[in-house]
Amino acid sequence: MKNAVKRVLTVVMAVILCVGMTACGSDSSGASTADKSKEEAKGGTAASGDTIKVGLLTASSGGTAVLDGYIANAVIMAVDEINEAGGVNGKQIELIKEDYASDPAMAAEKAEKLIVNDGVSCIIGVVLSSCRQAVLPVVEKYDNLLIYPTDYEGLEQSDNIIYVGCVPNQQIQTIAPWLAENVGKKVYLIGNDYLYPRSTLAQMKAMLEENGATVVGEEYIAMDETDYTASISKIMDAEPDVVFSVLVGDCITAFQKQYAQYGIDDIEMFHLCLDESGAEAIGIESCEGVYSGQTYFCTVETDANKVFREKYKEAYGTEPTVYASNGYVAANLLAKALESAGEEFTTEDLVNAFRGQSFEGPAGLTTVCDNNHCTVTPRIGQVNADGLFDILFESESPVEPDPQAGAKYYTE
Amino acid sequence: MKQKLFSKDNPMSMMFIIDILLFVFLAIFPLFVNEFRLQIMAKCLCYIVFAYSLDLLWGYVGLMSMGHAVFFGIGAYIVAIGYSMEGGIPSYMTSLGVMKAPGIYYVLAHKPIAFFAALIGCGVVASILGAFLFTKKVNSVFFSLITFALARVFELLIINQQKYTGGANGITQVPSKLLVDVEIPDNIYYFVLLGIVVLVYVFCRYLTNSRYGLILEAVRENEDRLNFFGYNVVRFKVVVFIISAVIAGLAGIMFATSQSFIGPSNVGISASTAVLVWLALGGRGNITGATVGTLVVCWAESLFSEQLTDYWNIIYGIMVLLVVFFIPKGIVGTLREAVYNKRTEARHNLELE
Amino acid sequence: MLLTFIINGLMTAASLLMLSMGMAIIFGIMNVVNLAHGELIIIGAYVSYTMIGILQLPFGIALLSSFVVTGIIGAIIEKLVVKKLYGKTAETLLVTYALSMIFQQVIKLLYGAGYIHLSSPVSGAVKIGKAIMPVYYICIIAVAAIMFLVTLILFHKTRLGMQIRAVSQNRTMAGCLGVNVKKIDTLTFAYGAGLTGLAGCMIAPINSISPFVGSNYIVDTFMTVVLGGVDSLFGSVLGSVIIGESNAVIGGYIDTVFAEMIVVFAVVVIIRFKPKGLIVRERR
Repeated sequence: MKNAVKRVLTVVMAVILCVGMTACGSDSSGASTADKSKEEAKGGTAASGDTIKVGLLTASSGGTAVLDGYIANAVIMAVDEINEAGGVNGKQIELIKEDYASDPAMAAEKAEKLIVNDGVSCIIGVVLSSCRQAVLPVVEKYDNLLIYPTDYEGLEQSDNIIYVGCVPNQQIQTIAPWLAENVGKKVYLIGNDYLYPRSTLAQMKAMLEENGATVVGEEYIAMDETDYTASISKIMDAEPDVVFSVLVGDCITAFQKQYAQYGIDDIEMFHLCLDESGAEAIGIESCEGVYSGQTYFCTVETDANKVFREKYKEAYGTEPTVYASNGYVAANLLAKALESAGEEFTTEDLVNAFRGQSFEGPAGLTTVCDNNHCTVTPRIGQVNADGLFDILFESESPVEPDPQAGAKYYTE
Repeated sequence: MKQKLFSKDNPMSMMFIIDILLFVFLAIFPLFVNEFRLQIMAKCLCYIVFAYSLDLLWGYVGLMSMGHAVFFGIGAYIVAIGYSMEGGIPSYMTSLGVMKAPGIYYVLAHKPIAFFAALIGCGVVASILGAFLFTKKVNSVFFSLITFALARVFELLIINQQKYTGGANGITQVPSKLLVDVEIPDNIYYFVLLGIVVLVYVFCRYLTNSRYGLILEAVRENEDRLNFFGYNVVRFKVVVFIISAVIAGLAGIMFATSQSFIGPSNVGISASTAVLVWLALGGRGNITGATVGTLVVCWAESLFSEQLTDYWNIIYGIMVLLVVFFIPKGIVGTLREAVYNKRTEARHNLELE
Repeated sequence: MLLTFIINGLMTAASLLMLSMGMAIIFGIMNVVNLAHGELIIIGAYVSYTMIGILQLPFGIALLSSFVVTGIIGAIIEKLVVKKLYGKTAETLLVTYALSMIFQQVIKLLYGAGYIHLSSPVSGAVKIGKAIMPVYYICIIAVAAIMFLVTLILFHKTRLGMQIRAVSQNRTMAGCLGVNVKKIDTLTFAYGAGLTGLAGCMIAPINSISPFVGSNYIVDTFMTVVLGGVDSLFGSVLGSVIIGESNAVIGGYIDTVFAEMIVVFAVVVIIRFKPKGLIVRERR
């Protein structure tokens, strides 16, 4: 009888010890170093080691895994280039990868892990707004920095985030007039049911009306919808000249595949978020002639892009997309900022070093503005017979970001 | 006949020992780890309470709710909405053009009101649902399916009503406050959470060891016989459903305030399924299993997903398969059985001699 | 407008019927709640992708092979896992949930996390008044109808079908009368899984397919089966027509998210009052 009790106790203690050990072990720190690592994280003195640690927070599973993959690939490629060229201030950049499985709560947890356990000086990553908003309190709490490489809805400005992707005003103010003039005046708006599409479409609606176009219908669709027949009927019934969609992720693919089945040829289709990978998933026969408003297409004719595209294709076997370009730009801007921040820096120093920094990337010149957002060159492309985009329009100069523009236009 | 609590013949005594050891471990845990690991453990504490709530329902009464995260969500969202009103209209509303929150939001801005409204809200929803669902017609499979569907509706509702709930983006920056308007630092909040866990634990133990607990287990084992004895089985089911829902709501409150975040992915089908796995792994119907299962799965998830990202889901799946086939009673249940059987056997042998 | 919506509803109903037929068999006849149903759909889609996209074979072969391969996978699942858990609802749910996670990750490791592309074998559309009906959707309706009829004939006109029904009604008795109960179980499960895979192949050209989208289908298919009545194949037809039409009409006039909420809610209420679904088969 005594033996049994002993055995149970041994098992329990062993379990407790195991859990405890693993937890502490992977921290590589006991109680005494815990405070130190926190201090390090706050001070941003992580740069004082042999390498500069940078967190790469991307997802390899879940809804945004594809987009995250492009970001991760491009960041790794850029960091390799930077390190080969001698690093930053004589130090190599060390990427520490974490996977957040497209989940906001997980993103926050992993961000905290990168900051506290690994002592990174900043984090590049996450795609969805929900994930950025979940990471935001974490980087603010530890006064760390997130470099966010995705297009988003604006209406936010944190001292702990550098927004490399574009905000709606940068695309909308070029696309709306172009659409009204070149494609049609009767526009049908469709988007997924969350903040980014709603905010973008609110601006689009206002800008279209300023340019003499009319909005003949507006619809928002759940993120996991698989059946679009009802929406397509509504579009046909409204008889617009063009449909402007801010559908994202797998919704674009499913919607366009079903839309193509109807063989409607008198209504043009404009997907703001369609990129090369999306076009490939839809299939050329179902999306040839569709417009897109991304800020980068792999067919952009700049010298920087020729090199970038070639190298990316060689390394990963696919054409780069806007996410790859943004990730590449983000990593390069970071390298420049780190260089001017010097040996020892706080997060505030790093953010200040970012501001005003420019990088001539594959998508053209990107400059970080004082509001932590970046200038971008808006473009309009159309899917051609090769599944790539013919660039129909390209802004002559980069457009300034106005993250708060949405608030102005958004009315009930 | 009343058994002595810490007698060698009482299988409960082993559970108590494990529980006490676990709580001691949880109490000294902050000494050994950094802020990040502590934050994960704080999350675990919330999940432990959540697991207790489902253990009462599934482990003791045999009602497998596949949408228990709905109550977790109701609690978390009411508190998150109320608490995020403190700096005026929260930004998730203003960015969608809502300049004036609904009247109820201003009422919820008072911390104690939000706190109790969250608990009462869970109770009310559970009582309506319980009264509606628990009839003779609806058997346990359909109870599972209905709750599964409800989790789906709730998730959709939260995402759809983004003006009021933050939609897919969720609500962030919920302040770490409880009842009173004082922001509690993380390392102290951990102990507040631990305190709640212990209180809920004591309550669950009290409930399940009372005569009431026996009736609950009887509901699970043979409903008809209980009916025959004149017990109102439906009423028992409804009451335990309400209790369970309120505890789940409490867990939601703990989660929203300690993690400063609540989003649709924490309240939908996947969250509801996760808690089932914790209970299955730890062992259901004995409270201790809920603690053990939650701790093991949460930490395994945290640590494995850092090392073996690509294979974590496979490991997780295989783990569940192994548990169901090799230790169907869960870690604690199997352990208890082994020890208890050994003892009765030993005693039996003794008597024979 | 209403005509358009009703025709839309018909198309939605047909794909729902196709997607949920396998579940109607596995859940209705075998009483196994299979949470990996969505992943079986996705497996079917990936099999057809392998056949068409990689091996360049015609669509018909892809259709057949997705039926066969998913069926075999179903048989393996049944033999290894589900067999030991008949009558244990909770365990079955957990196990099939675990299987769904494993399948997701395995598909991802084999094919990558990206979306796959499958061209539809037919194109064009037919005009009915103001409404337009794509030819591919007509194919879906036809396939759904054929699946249904074949299943009906299989179950009611063949010896195997008789055995399946016998086992479903009284296992012990069927066993006593010399039916190989275990073999019938495996075959039934495999057939249900195969139909699901076939449906996956059919929807692949008109939906986005990646390893993680399986769960998008599970709630709708559950609703369909439960609403119509788990015991009856006709129930699934009724369920899919009701859900398809109400989704299309409510979604057409108001919006699709609202439609889905209403439908799920209505189904919950119906289950409460008619837990066996709308069509109840008489049992002795």
